[in-house]
Amino acid sequence: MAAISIIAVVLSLMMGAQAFTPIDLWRLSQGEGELLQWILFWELRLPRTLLALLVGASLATAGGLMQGVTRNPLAAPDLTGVVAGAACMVVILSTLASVDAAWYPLAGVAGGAFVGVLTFVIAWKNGLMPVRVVLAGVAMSSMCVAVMTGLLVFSGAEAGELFFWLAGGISGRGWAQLAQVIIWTGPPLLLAMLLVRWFRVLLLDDAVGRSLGISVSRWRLMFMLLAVVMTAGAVTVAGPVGFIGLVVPHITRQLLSEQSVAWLPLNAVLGGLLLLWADLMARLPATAQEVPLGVVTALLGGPWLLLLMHKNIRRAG
Amino acid sequence: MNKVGVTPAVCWMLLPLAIVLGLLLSLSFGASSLSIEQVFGALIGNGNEHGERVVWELRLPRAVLATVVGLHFALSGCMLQALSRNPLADPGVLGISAGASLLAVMLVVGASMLPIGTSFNLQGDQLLAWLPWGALAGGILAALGVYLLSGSARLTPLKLIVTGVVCAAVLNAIMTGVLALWGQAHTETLVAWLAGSLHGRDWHHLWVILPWTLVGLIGVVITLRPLGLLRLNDEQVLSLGLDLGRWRLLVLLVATLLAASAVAVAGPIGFVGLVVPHIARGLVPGNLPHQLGISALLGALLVLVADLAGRTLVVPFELPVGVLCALIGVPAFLYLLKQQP
Amino acid sequence: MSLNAERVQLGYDGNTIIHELSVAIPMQQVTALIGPNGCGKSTFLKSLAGLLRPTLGRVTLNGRSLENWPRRELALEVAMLPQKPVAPEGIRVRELVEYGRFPYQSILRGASREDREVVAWAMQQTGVECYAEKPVQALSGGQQQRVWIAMAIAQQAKILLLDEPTTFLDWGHQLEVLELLTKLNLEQKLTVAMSLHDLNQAAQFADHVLVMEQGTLLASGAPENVIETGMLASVFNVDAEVKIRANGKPCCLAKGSMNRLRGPAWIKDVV
Repeated sequence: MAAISIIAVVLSLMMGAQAFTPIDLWRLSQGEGELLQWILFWELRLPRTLLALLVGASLATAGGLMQGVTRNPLAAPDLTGVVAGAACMVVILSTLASVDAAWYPLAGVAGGAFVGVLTFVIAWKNGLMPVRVVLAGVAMSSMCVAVMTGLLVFSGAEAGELFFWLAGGISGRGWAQLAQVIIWTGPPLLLAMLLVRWFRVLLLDDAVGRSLGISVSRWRLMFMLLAVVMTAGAVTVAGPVGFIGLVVPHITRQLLSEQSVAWLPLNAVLGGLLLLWADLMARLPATAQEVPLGVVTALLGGPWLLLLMHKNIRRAG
Repeated sequence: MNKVGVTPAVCWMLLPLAIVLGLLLSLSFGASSLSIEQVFGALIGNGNEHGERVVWELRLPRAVLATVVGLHFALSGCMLQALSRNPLADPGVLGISAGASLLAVMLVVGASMLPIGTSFNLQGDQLLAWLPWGALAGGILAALGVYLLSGSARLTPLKLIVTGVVCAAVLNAIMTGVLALWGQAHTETLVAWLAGSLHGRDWHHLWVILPWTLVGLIGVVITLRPLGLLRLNDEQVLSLGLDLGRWRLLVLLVATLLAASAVAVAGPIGFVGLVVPHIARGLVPGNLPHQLGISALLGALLVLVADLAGRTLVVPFELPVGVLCALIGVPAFLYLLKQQP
Repeated sequence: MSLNAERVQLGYDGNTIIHELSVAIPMQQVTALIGPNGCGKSTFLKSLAGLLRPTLGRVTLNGRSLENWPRRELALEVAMLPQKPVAPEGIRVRELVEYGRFPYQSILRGASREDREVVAWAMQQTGVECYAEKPVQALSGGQQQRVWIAMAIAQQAKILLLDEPTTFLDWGHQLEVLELLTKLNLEQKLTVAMSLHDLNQAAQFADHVLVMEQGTLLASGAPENVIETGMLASVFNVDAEVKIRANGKPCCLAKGSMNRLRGPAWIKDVV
């Protein structure tokens, strides 16, 4: 596990339009090397790597939290409309108003929270059946996409840029973006880790949780809010990248029981690594532009997701 | 439960009237308004040149196309909902529209990358000849993929929906990626098309889709009775002697052809196939043939009205018809989802 | 006419549920399948209806293996009512019963006069003709089940298989359904085979009882021969008394669970 992560990090630092060799990396870390390499490393490669880890960890944790507290293996920021909602709000702000970019994450949080809540409210009918949530989420996402499309039609020239953002990607992101994201994803992540004890109780039946003296609905709300904030932060900087939040928790569940205290941290680490790998693969093809991250995660996550869903259905009878 | 359905006869009489009214309104309103006399004049060939041009070359084909496209999507959705025994299915949810769009986008992008022609637009004749076939192929491939991945003959309605949702998500992501990478030069037209748009559609598009309307309607008639039966348990359907696998595939094929051919001409308009059948089921519960017919008429009406609204609400801009259908359709859909047990 | 299972083995996804079952379903009689949950009653009934293919052995109808029966021909001989049948929302009773005529109709042609007559007859036999134009969902559980039976007999098959037809009904409705099945068996010479949870109902209404446990057939015969204390103890874990009623059919009175007899001493004296 540790070996894989180190290799991944190193590879990430190595690859790109200008490749470094491990020796270069060593020299750079010692403070030597050419100026151009230095800039590339410190200003682009390193923050990008860190960003990938952070975004992946946030999305995976958000997904893990949502799946855990709703006890619904199909819950995830992207399938419940949170991602689309966050993106939509950002698009609305950027096309209709000229707002300082620093406000985007907040807008994303508002949009994501609003749409996510709506999804669950709509899907609730004597409980939350997984398939209903997915369908409601798909509907809400579609509406957000429709709104975004409408706005894109009006925005004309900037549509191209927005489109690229909509496909997801972290190319060209540097320390500034990292700093921005950390504010919105760091605290929720930490908080989620600290509150793991309540998370584990929520994994059980509602009635059991209440009898243990925990205000089940309040904590559920709290964790959902954390998930939304984390997602919004990640989406603001990386665009709506899908599948990570949905698939990674399932993988983690294969490795470790959800009840274990180490589950959330492991999930976050896995998420970060997976997104890093995805980003690596996005940089791999020798195209003029990188493959959008959303495409890579879709291609990786899609088949996996299908497998998961079929297993799920069979188990449910 | 004392839900009284409206008698089918009422719907069958009112809806066509409403469509005709909608058509007339579509012919009158738009960037330039024509009076009723002018419209009628143009229709019989007795009007002034401007009126005739607007009616015959711009509005009539577009309006008729809107009704046909709406009919396609609504019928497709109605069939898919009966097939999957789930009122929340439609060509978009099941990935058919996504597949059709993806292939269409790839064609557009691919054509611009080949040395054939450096400038073209989505309404250009040369590309247009291939686009519908591309979209059709894309839709069929997507449907086939979803069918196979759901277990082919062993598919259950639930698996079909779940697989469809995932495939739709994957295909849409890929399409966004393709657009982002290579569609830069044509983003505006592509974006409008992707929302579902009837802008600039003329008689050519209509001739492209009408054969498929015929094929689709024939398909509906053939699969009508088995489709009614498919709404029961799998075991009962088998015990009544129906070849489950074969008929499911056939129904899926017909629904796909209807949806994909509509996407080919107008882009992936969502929610028509989702919401309209639901309303039809509310009006004539339990009776599938009537539901199909009323869905078709309602769908035609909806798209016609949405297109009219899109053209006239924010003059001189034009809202793509898909955006309007979404704005009308989503709240309706969510309301219906709330009602569904 | 005959419906036999010959050394049939059945399973799903690699799990074997039925091991080497051989039984001949008696024709023109009412047969009840009883056994604890998970013993394979449902699975077995599905194989008899041709809905599940045996991994080993075969099920034969009139001497021909079910695999060699084209589905439509089979539908003319055997009708099956599964556990929780689903009716499309809003469908009327008459429309649902009409579906039972499907094996006799072509794809394009609708109901013929004969079809309509059979449908009317089926609704009359099951006592639901007064609800013909009502939506199925508006009826009570017992009435709905009768509608499903009407659909099954509209198929005019000679064998009717039912998977737990009474499990989800009120007591009164359960008896309604069982009395109907008995009537159909006597008047129309319909062969009925059904799985039941209530042993006394099986004893009362069946001519022939099959006892299953963990995928094997433990006993087969008339109720008075099969339903006895030893079987009840070993298969159902119930310490019971079996009395014979005035009509010659057995009736079980439970005294307690077998665990009570094997458990701590102070429980023994509760009952």
